[in-house]
Amino acid sequence: MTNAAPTTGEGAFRSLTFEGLRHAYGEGEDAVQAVRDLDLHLEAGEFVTVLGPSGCGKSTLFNLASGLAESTPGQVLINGEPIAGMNPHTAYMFQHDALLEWRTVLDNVALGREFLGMSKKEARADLRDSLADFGLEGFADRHPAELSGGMRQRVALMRTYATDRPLLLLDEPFGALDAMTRVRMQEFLLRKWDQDHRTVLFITHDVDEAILLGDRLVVLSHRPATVREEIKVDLPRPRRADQLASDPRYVELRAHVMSLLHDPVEQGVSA
Amino acid sequence: MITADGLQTAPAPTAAPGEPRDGAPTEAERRAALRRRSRRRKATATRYGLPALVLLALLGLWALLSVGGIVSDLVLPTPFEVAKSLVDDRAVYWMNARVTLLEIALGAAIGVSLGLLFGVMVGLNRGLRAALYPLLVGSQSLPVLALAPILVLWLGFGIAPKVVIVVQIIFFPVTVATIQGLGAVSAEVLVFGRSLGASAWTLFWKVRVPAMMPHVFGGLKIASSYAAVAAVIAEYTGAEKGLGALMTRANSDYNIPVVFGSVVIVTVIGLGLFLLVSLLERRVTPWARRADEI
Repeated sequence: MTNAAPTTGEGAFRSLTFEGLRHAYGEGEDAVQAVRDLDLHLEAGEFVTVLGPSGCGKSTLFNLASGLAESTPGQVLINGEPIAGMNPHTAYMFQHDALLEWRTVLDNVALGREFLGMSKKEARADLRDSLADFGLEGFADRHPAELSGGMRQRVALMRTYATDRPLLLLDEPFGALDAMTRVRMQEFLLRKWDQDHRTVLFITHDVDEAILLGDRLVVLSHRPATVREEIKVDLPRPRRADQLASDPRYVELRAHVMSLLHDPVEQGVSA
Repeated sequence: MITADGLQTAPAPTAAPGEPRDGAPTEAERRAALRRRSRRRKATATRYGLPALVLLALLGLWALLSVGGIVSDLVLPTPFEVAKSLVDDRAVYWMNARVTLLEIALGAAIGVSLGLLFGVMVGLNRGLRAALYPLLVGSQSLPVLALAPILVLWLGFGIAPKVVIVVQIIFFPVTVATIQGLGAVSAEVLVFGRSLGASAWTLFWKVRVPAMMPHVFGGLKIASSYAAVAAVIAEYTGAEKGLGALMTRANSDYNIPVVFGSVVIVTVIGLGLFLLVSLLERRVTPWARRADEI
């Protein structure tokens, strides 16, 4: 796998910007405002975590970033230019691994590349050798049903990585895993990220996860989603969950984020 | 550091306990495989042994009732009479079974094709679904067998009206299963694909079709058990040849062993079709879990 995302050249990804983003579902009186006046800017190579209550429109944010959902012109910018059609830089990963049960591990990993239009052979070319990077060596020809939850998520992560897209949209990717596996996957993702610094927009509702992973942490409000606070996570990398737990700065950040989530004003808005 | 589920924190690729790294199974794995095989053998014995026992018991009961004279042989022939008829009259049975088999084959080919086509159209298009799904369900309430005599009037005594009835019976379960199968696709895979620019065509063949196949086979199994019965009942209403025609003639001649012989053959055809579909299912969708396998 060519691990390096395109960082140079004219078509390279440099930034993603939401500017006064608004989005509603439905029309007229039934319209549900999902996002209102949301501002967010990502530079290439940044790891930004998005923290917010369930159903606050986080997934809408992703669909607007990828171009799957149509945005009001001028509110979603790529490299400073308004997005036109699909964003050619994004690749998704979800809470549910969404692996195809009839495909082997290798074929699942190649799926994204096939979607990009590569031939089957081309798509698999260097993937077999890269399985080891994701802790999947020896499992190329197994089926998803034979794998543990953590392994399945690594297959899904590798499938997303293998698209070589520079902007990863990770939608609560570890949300369905048990606590121990989740910590392992978080540290695994951090190591992967250290290798090629792709841009990551990571949705979660786990405060610890948001602090452990992100360069910046964005706390969203209840629906309609808007940025309540953007917090710079000034903890040195590489980070490890077990070492952070007793770090005074981490404890401080965590307390601050928790207080934001329990803000009485916020409760009032949601009620 | 190696963690329990094979994750490495250091680049050194060492085997985690219990996980094959270079293809060589560990001792524990070999033992587990042996245990699995022995369990499977026991499961196989239960799967085929038990039904065989029940079948033997039922045959025994039948022999007891008929040979013992508890039920008159005018109504219930002995198993031996039926067996004798199956051997002695095999030419007659074969001549009629051939026609019934042809009706089933044609009806199945047309019914399955139409069911898949219609199911995909309705399953992928919300407008079509709203317009056609109620009609589809309604069509199943049509008393087709009651209409069979009219079909004979329209299409003659040949195989055409029987094929139409087999098509009508098979069409419904296949269509419903196809629609359900298309709905069972993971929405996330579709989002993943679309965001990478995959066409609807690509998503259809790479994701939707394989994902719907286990459901389609569920529908095919139901259809396969109906098909033979539908053909035979269609033949009741007017046919020159076919197992249904043979049964009505034998019945009016009080040739009860032939009626029972025909029933045995129809049953075997139905079972054969079901097995055929099950075999095909195992070939086409080996990944799907099968709880209803025989």
